[in-house]
Amino acid sequence: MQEITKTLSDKELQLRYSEFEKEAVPHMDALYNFALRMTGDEDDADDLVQETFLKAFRFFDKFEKGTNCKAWLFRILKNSFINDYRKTSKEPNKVDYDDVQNFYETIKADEVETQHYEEDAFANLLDDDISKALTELPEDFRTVIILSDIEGFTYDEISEFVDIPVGTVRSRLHRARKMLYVQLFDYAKDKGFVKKSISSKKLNK
Amino acid sequence: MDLLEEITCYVDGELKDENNCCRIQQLIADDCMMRNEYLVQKCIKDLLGKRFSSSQIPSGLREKILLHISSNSNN
Repeated sequence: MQEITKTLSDKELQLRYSEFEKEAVPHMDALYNFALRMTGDEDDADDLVQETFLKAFRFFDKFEKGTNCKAWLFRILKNSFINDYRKTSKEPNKVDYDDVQNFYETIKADEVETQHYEEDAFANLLDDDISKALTELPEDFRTVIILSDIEGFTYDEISEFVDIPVGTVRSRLHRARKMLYVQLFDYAKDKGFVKKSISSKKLNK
Repeated sequence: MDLLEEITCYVDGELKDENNCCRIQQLIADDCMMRNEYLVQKCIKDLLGKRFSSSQIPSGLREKILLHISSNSNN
């Protein structure tokens, strides 16, 4: 931050702050939410958001006025996550999509009618359980499902943020939801909220 | 596009063509496996939206960040 105070006059700094306050600060809640779901840890989310906003302010002259500031902030946060957080954090066990496919192929069509029961079972899961399952998704899939289902971005917006084709967004989102579903199904079963004998863990053996 | 991914698009309101929407609705109504796919996609989308879409940044952290930035811009 010291570099800015050296290169900009007081007036320029105040102007930058004023514009930053108007354009970037309103997105702080959304950025925090994204950081919290990506890291699964409040302290890490705090650090990540703080670093993101300090960087954003420092490089605010690079932001093109009239473009999507929220998307710009998300990109900074995502890059900070990749470059700084991910290097130092221990990766949790990840869900394997092949296991998920195995689970689905084994579900019989006649079990579909019990689906409403599983939705009720998930409703009994704690936020911490769901958050844990989310952090166990592979990062590329986690990013897309958070941006879509929690932040409410369209496929086009996610494609722009993450810099992947729309078709890849769609494919990752489809798979991410299935992986998360299987994880939650197992959690719900372990806690006795699901009585069916089927389990993704057992099916994989 | 993969048929199962079309269901994902339908759940997300990303299937723009009305004929395609009708075709997917019919598939969901007629085919148990397609209905299962639809329910799984919708269940997770709704669950995450309900549980996690409203987290707010802790006020202490917000103030800390703003103070850090504004103190530098006022120096």
